[in-house]
Amino acid sequence: MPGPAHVAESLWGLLADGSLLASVAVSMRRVCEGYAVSVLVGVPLGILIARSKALEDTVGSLVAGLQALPSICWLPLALLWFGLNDTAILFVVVMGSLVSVTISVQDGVHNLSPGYVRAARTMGVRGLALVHHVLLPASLPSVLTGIKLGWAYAWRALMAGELLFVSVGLGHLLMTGRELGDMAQVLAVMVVIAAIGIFTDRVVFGNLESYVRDRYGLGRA
Amino acid sequence: MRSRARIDPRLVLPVVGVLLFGALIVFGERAIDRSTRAGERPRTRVRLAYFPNLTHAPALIGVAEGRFQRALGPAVELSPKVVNAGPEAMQALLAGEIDLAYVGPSPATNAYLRSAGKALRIVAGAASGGASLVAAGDSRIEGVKDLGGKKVAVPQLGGTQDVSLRHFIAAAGFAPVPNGGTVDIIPGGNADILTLFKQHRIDAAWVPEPWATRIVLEAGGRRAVDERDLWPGHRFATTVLVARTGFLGQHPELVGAMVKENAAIIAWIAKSPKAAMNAANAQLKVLSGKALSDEVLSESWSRLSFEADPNRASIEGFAEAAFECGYAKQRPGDLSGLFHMEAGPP
Repeated sequence: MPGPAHVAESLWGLLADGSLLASVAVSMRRVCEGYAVSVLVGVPLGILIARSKALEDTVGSLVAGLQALPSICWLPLALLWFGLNDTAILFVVVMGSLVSVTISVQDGVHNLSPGYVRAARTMGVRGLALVHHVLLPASLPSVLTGIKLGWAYAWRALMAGELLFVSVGLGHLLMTGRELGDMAQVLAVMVVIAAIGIFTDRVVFGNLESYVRDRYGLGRA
Repeated sequence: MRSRARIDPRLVLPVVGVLLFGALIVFGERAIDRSTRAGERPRTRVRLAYFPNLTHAPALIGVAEGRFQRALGPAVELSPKVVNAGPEAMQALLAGEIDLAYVGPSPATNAYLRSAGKALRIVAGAASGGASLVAAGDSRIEGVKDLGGKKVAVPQLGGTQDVSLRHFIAAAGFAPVPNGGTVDIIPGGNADILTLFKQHRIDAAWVPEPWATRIVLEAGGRRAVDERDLWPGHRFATTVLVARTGFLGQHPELVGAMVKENAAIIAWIAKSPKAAMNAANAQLKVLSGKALSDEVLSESWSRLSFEADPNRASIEGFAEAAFECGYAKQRPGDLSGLFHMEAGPP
């Protein structure tokens, strides 16, 4: 088991030869692309499922079923459909995070007080306007939780996806470390992934959430 | 006039964070060599898969020194893909994503049998040998006959070394524990086996190079059997070159050029082993960031031989052994369709 000094040295080595920067950049781009697709598809899908009985019975149960699948299940399919390229990795990332975004949004809209919707309807709000002015703003706190979860799932899925083939990326650095029995490198990459996770959670999502909570009167008692 | 509304810093920080990520992506990706990214494509491409392994030395050398590209000519682009395991390489080949692959005989035979003999042909050999039974230094294991009641590790269930172990212990009159025998077969990754050895959790391991040598040098192991000694003629196939049947039909001349270059590289390896060894190690360093130490490199290299003949008898032996261990549903039967050793379309 390598000590902290050993890990720091490995981290420095990865930084110095440029492989860490390149890997972080490529992995980050993959996560961002997959995550953007997940949010753009997942949020509307969650709202639709929550608002339509027919969709909930059909697509809703499918999504609930897919949630149980770990990302590595998608690897053979991704390989078969897309081949050895970035699209296959993107597919695995989307399949990993889309479902969790959809389910959280769906739950958020489900748990809205029906009073809001009824009041809006009484005032003649229908269709897209109802979604835009009532449903989305009212469920924003849980939508935010959903997309935050989606980010974490996207990272996990990416680590699985990057094992598909050898290309630049954090998942590959992790695997190289493992294959060569270089635990210091494995730990160094784990530190980097955790650091990115903490940064995103605290700086990006943490601030947004605290802002939204305050605006919704959900601040600390 | 109303004073400008104050913007909450909790809205600014996330935006700054996202911008930082964006800058990181743009900046970092610029650092990556442009040549590895998709650019203009020439008319024909040859997609070649190989592993970052010493047993794939002809591929390592052929790609690193541009020999394959030169053999194919300027009108054809060689697109090498590095993969980590045979089953994945074969999946990609079945999906039509790979045209040629350096791969172990077991995954190749499996893919051939699963596709009812349609997917691929073995067009050349590359490496032979390079696997050993390593025993703990303080054990009294001298050979397969001493494995009764022992814990023996293999890299992967159903992998080449696993099949070899099961085949040779059966010949010595033993059986694995789940089948009522006494030999406890433990699957684990090569790196994990090295760790298990250091912790004295296993008695022996059947592993490929360079792991067998690393166990000997780093974990106090002892090489009990060089697998080559168990095979007739002292040789068995470790790596072969396979071609996708569709590609072979369309571009027999390109496959021919690659087979010829493979043979030329193997001849060069035989003539100047030192230079070849270092060239292969240099490419390993490029691919995985780490080169093998000189000690491990030269010892592992001495356990391998490189030959352009795929050694059909040993491949048929492996297929038969895989069936006997229960890894294949039917007897492999005649494998003559698997080999395509003459020039021209299948």
